[in-house]
Amino acid sequence: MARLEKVIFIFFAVLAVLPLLLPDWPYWGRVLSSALMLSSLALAQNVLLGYTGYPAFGGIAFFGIGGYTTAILMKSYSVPFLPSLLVGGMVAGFTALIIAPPLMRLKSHYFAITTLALQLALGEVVANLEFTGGTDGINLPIYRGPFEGYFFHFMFLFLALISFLINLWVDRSVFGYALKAIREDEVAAESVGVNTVLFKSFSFGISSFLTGLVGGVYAYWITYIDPTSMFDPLLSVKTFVALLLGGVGTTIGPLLGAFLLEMVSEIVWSGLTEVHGIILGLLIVLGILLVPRGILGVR
Amino acid sequence: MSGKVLEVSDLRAGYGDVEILRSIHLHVSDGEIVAIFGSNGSGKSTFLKVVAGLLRPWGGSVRYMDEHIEELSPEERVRRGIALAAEGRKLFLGMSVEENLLLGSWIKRDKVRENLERVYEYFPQLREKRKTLAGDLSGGQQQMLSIGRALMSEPRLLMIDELSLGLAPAVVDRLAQIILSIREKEGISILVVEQEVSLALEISDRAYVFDLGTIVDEGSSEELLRRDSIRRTYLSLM
Repeated sequence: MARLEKVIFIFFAVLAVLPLLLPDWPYWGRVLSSALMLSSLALAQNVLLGYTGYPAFGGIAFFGIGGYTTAILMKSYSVPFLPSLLVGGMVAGFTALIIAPPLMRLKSHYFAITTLALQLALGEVVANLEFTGGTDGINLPIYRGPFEGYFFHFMFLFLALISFLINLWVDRSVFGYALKAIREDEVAAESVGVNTVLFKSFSFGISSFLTGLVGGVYAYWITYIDPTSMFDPLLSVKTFVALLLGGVGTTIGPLLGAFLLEMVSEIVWSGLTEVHGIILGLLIVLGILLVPRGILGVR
Repeated sequence: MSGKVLEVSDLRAGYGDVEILRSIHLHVSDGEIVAIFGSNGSGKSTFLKVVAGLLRPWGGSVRYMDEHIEELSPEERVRRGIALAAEGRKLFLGMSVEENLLLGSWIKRDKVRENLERVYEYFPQLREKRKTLAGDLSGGQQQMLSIGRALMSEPRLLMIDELSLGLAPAVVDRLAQIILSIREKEGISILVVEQEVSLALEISDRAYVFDLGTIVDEGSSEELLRRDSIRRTYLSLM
C-alpha cells in the first residue's frame, strides 16, 4: 500500500503539469477539476465513514455552508477569495463540531437519514433568507488574476492533496486508531477509555471542514450559486458512489473511485448523450455488485 | 482508604422503563477476588456495565477508592483504574491482536511497550498470534485477548464478564490459573461474573448470588460451597 501511495504523489505531480501539456485545456480543465472536486469530497467523507463508521448521507450540507459563507463574504463584505474560503471551511467545520454530540448519538442509517434531513432543511432555510439571495442565489465575479484559466484546477488539486494527506495522517495516527476503534465497536472503545464523543466530533468536524472548503472553491468556480446547486442530494449520492466504488476506509480508494466515476461519466456523456443516465446507472450497479467492498476495499 | 476498592449501596438501574437492578449492596476489598453468579437475566452483566460507566444508575451510590463515581464517564473510570473485559468479549474484530492490546493501553500510552510485555507474559499465545486478526482467534484466545486488553490499562479493579462462556473445560482451567496469577503478581482486585458456579467459587474469596436484580445470598466462597441451598440450586449436588 505504501508504494501505491507514492504513486498517488506522482499522480498529483503529473496533474500539476498537465495544464501545460494538454491541448484542449478548457475542456480537460473542466473534467479534471470535476474529478478532483469529487475526489476531495469522497476523501472528506472517508474520514467520517471510512475511519469512524458514520455515514453522513447529507454531508453536502457542509458543502453548502462553505459555499454560501465564501460567497456572502466575497459579495457582501468584499473579503478576498482565500480568506473567505478559509472562513467558509471553518464555519462548516465548527457547525459540525457543535451539532456532533447530540447528532452522533444516532448510529448507522439513523445518523445517515438525519444528516440528509439536515441538508434538505438547510437548503430550504437558505432559499428563504434575504442575505443568502433566497431562490435567486448569488452571483460572484469571474476570477481574474494569476494562473487565469488554471486557477480552479490548482485549487481543486490543492484540496484533493490536502484531503489525501489528512487521510494518510488519520490512517497512521493515534487519532486514527481511536476512530477505527469507534468504527469497530463503540462500546468497546469507550470501555478502554477512548473519549468517543470527542473523537467522533473531531472526525465530523474535519470531514465537514474539508467539505466546506470544496463548496467554497466550487461557488467561485461556477460564479453563481443557489440552494438547488449547493444542497444537491445528487452530489451526496455521487460522493458515496465514488467512495464505495474505490473502497471505504482506504487512503487511495476514494481518489480512484472519484476519477473512475467522473471519467466513465464523461465518456458515456459524450458518446451516448440520449441514454447517458441509464448507462451510468447500470455501470454503478455492476460496479457495486462485482466489487462490493470497492476496488481497494479492505472492510 | 477504607480498604474497600469498590463499594456499592442501594444501587438501582435498568433499560428504558424496565428496572433490572433493585437495591444492590456490594463491596470489593483491596486485593480480593469477588464472584457474582446467578441465573440468566439476574442483572449480573448490567451491574458491571453500571460500574464501568456504560450505563447510568437510576439511584444509589457507587464509590471507588472512597470516591463517588456515578457521574464519571467510562474514560474517567478507566483513568482511575477500573477495567472491564466485557460480555461477548467486545473485541475490535477487524484489528490484529496487538492493535487490540495497544488500544487497551489508550490511557497509558507512555507505558505501552512495558504493558504489552507484561500481558504477553501472562498470555504467551497472544504474542504468537500478535499479527492475527482478533476475529480469527478461537474463543479461548479471544477471552485471553479481552482480559489482556483490560490489563493494558494497569487497572486496580479488573472486572471480567462471563469468564468461561462457550469455552472448553481445559481452557477454562487455564484461564482460572491465570486469573489467580494476575491477582498474586499485580495485587489487584478482581470482580468476576460467572455462570459456572463451581468455577466462580473455586477462584474467588467471596461471592454474591444475584436473582431477579437483587442479591439473594452472599458470603465467603468456602462458606457458600458448603451451604445446602447453593449446592442444591446451583451445583446439583443434593
